[in-house]
Amino acid sequence: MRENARIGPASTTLTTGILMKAMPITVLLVEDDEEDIFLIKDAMEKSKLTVNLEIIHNGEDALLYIRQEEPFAQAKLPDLILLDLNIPKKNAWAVLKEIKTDPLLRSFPVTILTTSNQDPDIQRAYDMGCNSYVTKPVGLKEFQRVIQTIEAFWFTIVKLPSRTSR
Amino acid sequence: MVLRTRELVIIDDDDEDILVLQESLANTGLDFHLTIIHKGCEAVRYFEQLSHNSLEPNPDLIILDLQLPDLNGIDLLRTIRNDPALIRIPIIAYTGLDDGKHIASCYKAGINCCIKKPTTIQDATNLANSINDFWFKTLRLPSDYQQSHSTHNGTSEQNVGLLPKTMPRGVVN
Repeated sequence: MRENARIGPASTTLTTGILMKAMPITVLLVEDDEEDIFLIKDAMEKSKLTVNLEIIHNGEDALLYIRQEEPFAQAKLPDLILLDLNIPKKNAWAVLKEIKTDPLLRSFPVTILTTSNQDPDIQRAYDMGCNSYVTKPVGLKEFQRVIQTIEAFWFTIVKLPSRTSR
Repeated sequence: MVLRTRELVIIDDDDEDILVLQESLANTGLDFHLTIIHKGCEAVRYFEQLSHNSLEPNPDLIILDLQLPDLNGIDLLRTIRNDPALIRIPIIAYTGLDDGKHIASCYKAGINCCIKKPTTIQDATNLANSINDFWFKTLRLPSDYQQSHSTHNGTSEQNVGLLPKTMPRGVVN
């Protein structure tokens, strides 16, 4: 069963994995599709890494969250943002633009995680500064492989900016 | 995923490091053509040529040593990311520094990701496997749609890119 605890009106936090680390990795998932949220949680639960997954369902709250503005003043800053392109309230392009043009937010790594495999979306996302672009696969096993590959690359190979040095 | 020869560029002044990474990547089974640049001034010239030659396809990935003796890697990154022709080229930077501010400044300058330079064969093997699994088997890359293919002498055969290289960064329609 999933383990959920509310940290804000529109966010859910979930700690997954079996390996304990001094500072668990925090992933901010900006996604409104409950089925996709379930699949991502499930894949992370089966991962060997300890991941604190924070879930935000719309673009407005995503920006409040990473700026640590109310009601997310106590939120844990993410090590990686997974951003779906199809989210309500404030669209993902505007969210990505705000992150990548704000000197205080620009160092947050953003991986686009979307069903869109359209060339203009891919080109546009990289032009706007996304760090990587992944299309959501079809099928449970492939979904799991993709999420765990994202985790393995970003959290075992990559040097992430420290939360205090942004 | 797109099955084709991948165009990789390594900018590094250490021949041994290049050889280890090159062999580690080859051991993953990745089909790639590697361009090696040893000096900062050569890197600057390479990017100038790439910027001015719209028929030359962008590489799939650049691996950049940020600590070349004759180059400020952060300045080079900023130059690349302010050039509409180069803005979308994926760049992995490697650095031996653990300084959090330095790493944050790499991300602010527009690096796709920063990695620790491998110091052992095992590190290089892990890195190469991860680059292959994530970068070439999982990610969608801007170069996947250039429909262009470089020969092993580095010359471009064709470029029928679907979008111009001049889409400015930060523009939201």
